[in-house]
Amino acid sequence: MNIFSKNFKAFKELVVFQPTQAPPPFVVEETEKSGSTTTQEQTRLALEEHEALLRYARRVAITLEKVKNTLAEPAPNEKLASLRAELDALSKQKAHVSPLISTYSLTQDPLDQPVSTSLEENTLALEQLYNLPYNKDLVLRNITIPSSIPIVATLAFIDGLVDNNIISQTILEPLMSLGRENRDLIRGDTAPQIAARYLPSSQVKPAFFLREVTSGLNLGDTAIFFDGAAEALIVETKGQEHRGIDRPALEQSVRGSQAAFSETLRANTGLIRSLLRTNDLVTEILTLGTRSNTLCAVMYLKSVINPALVQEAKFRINSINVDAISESGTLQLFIEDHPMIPYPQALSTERPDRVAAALSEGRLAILVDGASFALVAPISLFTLFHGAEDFSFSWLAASFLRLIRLLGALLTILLPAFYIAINYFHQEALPTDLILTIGGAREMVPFPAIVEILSMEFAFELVREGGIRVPGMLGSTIGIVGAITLGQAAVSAGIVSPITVVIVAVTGLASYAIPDYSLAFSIRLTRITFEILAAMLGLVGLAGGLITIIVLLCGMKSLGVPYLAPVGPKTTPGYDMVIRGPVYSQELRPDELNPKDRRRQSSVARGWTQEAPAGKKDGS
Amino acid sequence: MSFQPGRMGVAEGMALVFVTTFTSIFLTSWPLAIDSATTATWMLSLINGLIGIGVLYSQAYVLQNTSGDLYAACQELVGVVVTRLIAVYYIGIYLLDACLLLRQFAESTLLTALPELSFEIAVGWYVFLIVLILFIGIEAIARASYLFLPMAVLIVFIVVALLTPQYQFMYLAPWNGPGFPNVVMAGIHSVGLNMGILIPFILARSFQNSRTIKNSVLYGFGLSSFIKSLTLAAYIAAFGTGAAREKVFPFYEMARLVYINRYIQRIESLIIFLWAMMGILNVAIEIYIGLYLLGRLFNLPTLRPLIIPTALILAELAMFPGEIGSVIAFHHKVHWSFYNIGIYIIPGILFAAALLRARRRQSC
Repeated sequence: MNIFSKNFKAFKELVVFQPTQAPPPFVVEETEKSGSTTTQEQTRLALEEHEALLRYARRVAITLEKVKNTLAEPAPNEKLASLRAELDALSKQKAHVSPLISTYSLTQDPLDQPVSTSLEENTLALEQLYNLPYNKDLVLRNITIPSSIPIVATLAFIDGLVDNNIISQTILEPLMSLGRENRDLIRGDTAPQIAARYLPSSQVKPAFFLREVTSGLNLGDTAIFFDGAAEALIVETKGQEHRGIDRPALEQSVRGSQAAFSETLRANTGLIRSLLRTNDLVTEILTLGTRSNTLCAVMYLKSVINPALVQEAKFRINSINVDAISESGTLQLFIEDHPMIPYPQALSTERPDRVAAALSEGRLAILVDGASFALVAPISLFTLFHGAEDFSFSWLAASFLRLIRLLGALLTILLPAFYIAINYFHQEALPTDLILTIGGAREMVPFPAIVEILSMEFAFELVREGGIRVPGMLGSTIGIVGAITLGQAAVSAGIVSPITVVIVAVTGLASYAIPDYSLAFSIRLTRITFEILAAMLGLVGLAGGLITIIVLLCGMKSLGVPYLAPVGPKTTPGYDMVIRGPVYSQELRPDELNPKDRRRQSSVARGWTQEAPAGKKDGS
Repeated sequence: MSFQPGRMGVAEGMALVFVTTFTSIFLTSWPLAIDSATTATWMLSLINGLIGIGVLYSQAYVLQNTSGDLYAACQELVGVVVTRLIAVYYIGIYLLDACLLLRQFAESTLLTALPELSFEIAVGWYVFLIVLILFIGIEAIARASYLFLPMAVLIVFIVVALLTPQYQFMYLAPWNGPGFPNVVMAGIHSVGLNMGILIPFILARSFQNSRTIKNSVLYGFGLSSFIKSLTLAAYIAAFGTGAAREKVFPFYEMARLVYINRYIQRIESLIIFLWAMMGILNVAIEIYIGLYLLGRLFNLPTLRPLIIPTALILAELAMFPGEIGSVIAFHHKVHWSFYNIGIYIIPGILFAAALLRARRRQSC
């Protein structure tokens, strides 16, 4: 092949289409609706019905063989009793496999089927529901309980959700290891007898339908099926591995409790109860997600909270129709009043002490199993500026800190936009010396102020996001080094002016004063909008943005309670909203919550101020 | 009816009245009033206040002796036909005022803040914001107004205080004025500037009770009258009547005059915040009241579909006049004449009718 032919071939390969030799890539095919669903369903039902009948026939054959062998020679009473029990179980199974009942139960949702008297049927149903043998989580264990009439049983549990020691100690040992002499179980009433006499677990409940069985299994309980019994026992064996109670990672405080929620619902509700040890504290458990069946706890103080709030919260949670919810943040998005507005409408906290304080004010808390953050609602915008240590400090210090945080939020929102507006349209607002300094610094910068600010903020956001993602101490180091290097390099390169770096740095620093991460994020979004408005219309644009956001916030609600209370609408202040009053003057609960019990403490909370000192009561 | 706002309290009512009666301080109405009252112009606001209190108590009496709001009271006292005529009048007044304010605020944006901006964009920007906040609702607007109220009062006090070195108190001397009877007459004529005092009566169904309405008008209008009077006194003391009557935007000029040292001077840019916000709120409230009455008049189930068309029509109308001078002159004229019907005559008729009905009931 000469050079001409080679070049021609290469050119031809390049230009002329040739079908690829590689296998076709994976493409998910669209599901096509088939018209023969009814026929398929009927075939499936017939097949399953026949299989059930076959299983029954096989069992009858085996039992008859056993009867023949037993009766062939003189058998002891025990063996005869056992045989009688097996025949009883068989007759019960016969009732279940009668064609009418079988067809009816097969057309039902598998979860709605009753627990069968046949162990084989129950095992098959569970295998089908849990996709065995592909799914390795479900463990099925067959045992024989020694008694005057030995009872065959099957244990079912999900590996990883149960504590194996609990199963051994509270189920297997009592049922299997103890001597048979003491066991005298009456056939036909097996499950209640075993539950009452031989299972030492704190919680044992009967289950008559597979839905109850699977619900228990999914929570980490163990189900015990007995041959010949149309009910199962659900024994509490929860023992999921979980993180212990740790220090708060995001809401660290100088003073106050150092405990944080973990991922286990019951441990979290326990933490709250340990701070509010009262019978008045109610924990209602709801289930979320049609597939995840996540447990969710709604906690409140019954004698304090406005019942309408509880009713509304439960209504919203119960009305969620979604397959899975695994995080309290996701739940928050489903139940908040204004999902299109990024401002958080519930307080997300990892601190039990904050939740306890909120509950005692007449709010409610929502905890989700598997989430280490609790939701507190209703809240006002000002609640999001509260810090954990505010409750431990003197009222002056706490009020000062809150004002600093509010000022930080104002700076975050307004400072860059203000700079842009003045830089573009209102230079006369600055003293001449200052405007000359700014002008001098910007002289060599080739970009307009809005580009400078937005690019620096983008860099700052990258550093912030990178700092969060990089693990451990390295994250903060990268953040600091990145910010310094980027700032200096950008100024040295003449891309941005030093004043821009100062403004973006101050803004960034101020944004860290906002205690709530979601709120800080919303404020950052608002800031960018304001910057664009300021670049377009100066202070008029900024004023327009500000009025819109304030009217918007005034129109918002958190679980039906105004978001800007107690200032918009004005309500009776409780001395713990923006300015925190002395603890003894915080006599009333927040007015906007309309609690059942408005008074938090008596008008004279410090009784000792009204009496003589302890050592001088006798007048000496 | 879905356009009914929720329950409002004294704070919300007070803010609604304050914003709608105070905003005139940023516009040319008061410099024009100097023609009539010269050095005593600051008294006009106080006289307005006293008349306003009279209107307040008369209308409170009307509401106490009838049921519902001003519209329902009209229906009870003067019949359906007259009520409709009255409603049309008030719709016209509030929408006209909103239109004229929109034009003046757009012009003031061009004159004071953004000289390079196209006039249509300025009007469009204000209309966009007004539509946006109208969709959120009067309750939220009233609450936002309440939040701005202390800020507005504080800024006015700061400007008045910072102008102290510029004051010539001789400019306020009574012997330079037109005489007390003329000042009182001017005060009586200029009360139309305060149409906002009727808003709580129109929205009476949304307020908790008649006492809330009474208190909100009393506090809102009282505060507004006092601060307007103080500002006008400071304005005249700083500029003198000769220069003061020439200015188009009195408060802007006051802020511009501030010079304490080279760091505290020319603060007028910062005042833009105040008048822009107050202007937007005022126009939005007046459009809402116009639409609310329209809803009552035609028994409409909701107001929302009307917001955008009305705002667009008002924006178009605001852009009609060729120059701002004619708009200012027209606004001044209607303030001092046409608006007074809504302050004196209609409330007077309603009060008389309520009184008559009460006496008839007593005699029966």
